[in-house]
Amino acid sequence: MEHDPTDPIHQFQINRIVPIQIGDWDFSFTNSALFMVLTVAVTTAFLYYTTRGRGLVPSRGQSITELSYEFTANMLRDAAGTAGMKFFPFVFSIFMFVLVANLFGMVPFFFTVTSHLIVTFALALLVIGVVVGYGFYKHGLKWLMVFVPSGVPGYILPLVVTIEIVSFLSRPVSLSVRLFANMLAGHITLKVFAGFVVSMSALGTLGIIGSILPLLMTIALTALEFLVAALQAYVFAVLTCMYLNDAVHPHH
Amino acid sequence: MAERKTGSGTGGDRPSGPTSSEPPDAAAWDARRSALEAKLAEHRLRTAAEAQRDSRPGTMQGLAEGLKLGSEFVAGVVVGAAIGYGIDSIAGTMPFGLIVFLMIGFGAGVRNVLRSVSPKREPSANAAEPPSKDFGS
Repeated sequence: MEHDPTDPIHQFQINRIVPIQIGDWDFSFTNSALFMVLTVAVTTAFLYYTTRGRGLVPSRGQSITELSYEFTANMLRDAAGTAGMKFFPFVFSIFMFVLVANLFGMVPFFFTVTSHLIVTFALALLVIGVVVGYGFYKHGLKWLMVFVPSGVPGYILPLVVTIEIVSFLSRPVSLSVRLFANMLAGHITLKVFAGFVVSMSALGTLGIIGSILPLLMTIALTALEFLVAALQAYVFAVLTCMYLNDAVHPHH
Repeated sequence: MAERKTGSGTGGDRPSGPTSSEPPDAAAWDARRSALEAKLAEHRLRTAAEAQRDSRPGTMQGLAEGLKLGSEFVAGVVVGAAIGYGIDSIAGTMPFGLIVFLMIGFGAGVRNVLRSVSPKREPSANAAEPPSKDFGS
């Protein structure tokens, strides 16, 4: 199907690159999968090659790696304490994956992995799964006390516990929807304004002059989108740390 | 500790007035010292507040906070409604589960927002002492 070049949704389309069909399931290698692989590969390669020199005085690349390490480590230590540091590899992986995937989305013609709800939801489920799994593994059934705030009178306890459980269940939803919605909305807005430039400049001289305005807007939005890309990765990682804190220290 | 030292030091630095009448009454010295202490405390508070405000990377933090709170509230409501709807379609009690769990979802949304705006617990202290945390915060 030929597509309109200004169609803002077209960029989110999933295309099969290598069709794989196993039984009734479609395991095709899509453009989304390709960019996930690229994200992981680029991140790994970057981290590996920048730290290979292990300079006492870090080179530029090594500084970036060290800064992101320190940043994530401080974030995790602030939120979950020293006991939470065993989750550092997990949090760092998630942070770098989301960050690089978001920034990849800013490259023209690249696919934005995190603009699909299922990807971010899978990440959020992974986080919550780790929280629940580690909580039960470490504290056993006592971990369920995370749902029982102390100092609540007995007669409203059922209500409070229900609210706490619903609140806990809403975490993966808010975590994933926030990241997905930000990336989706940002890219659509960007595309819509860029599309204005195209369609207005088709209207002749006046249109070309007028198209300067959406062009300026597109430039401003691009800067904003870079901010949002980094910010949402940060927020995702911070919330991951906070949720992990519940697994490590379940007592409110 | 620090303010006492600074207080007496500043008192010593100002020679003419008090030193000329060196052994007046201790009460006057005490009054001066407490006044100075109060002034110092106020100054320290102000600089601390300023430092805190400056350390925050302005818009970035605010934007993140706003988006976070909004989505957390909505997520609570949506999840509550979904649970209610699920219970209804299993148990066949059509509107009631939805109604009840929508309200609980609102509660959960408010709880989410409260949790994220309440001042952070100190994690290092948290690890050591079993903290008693009241519901609201």
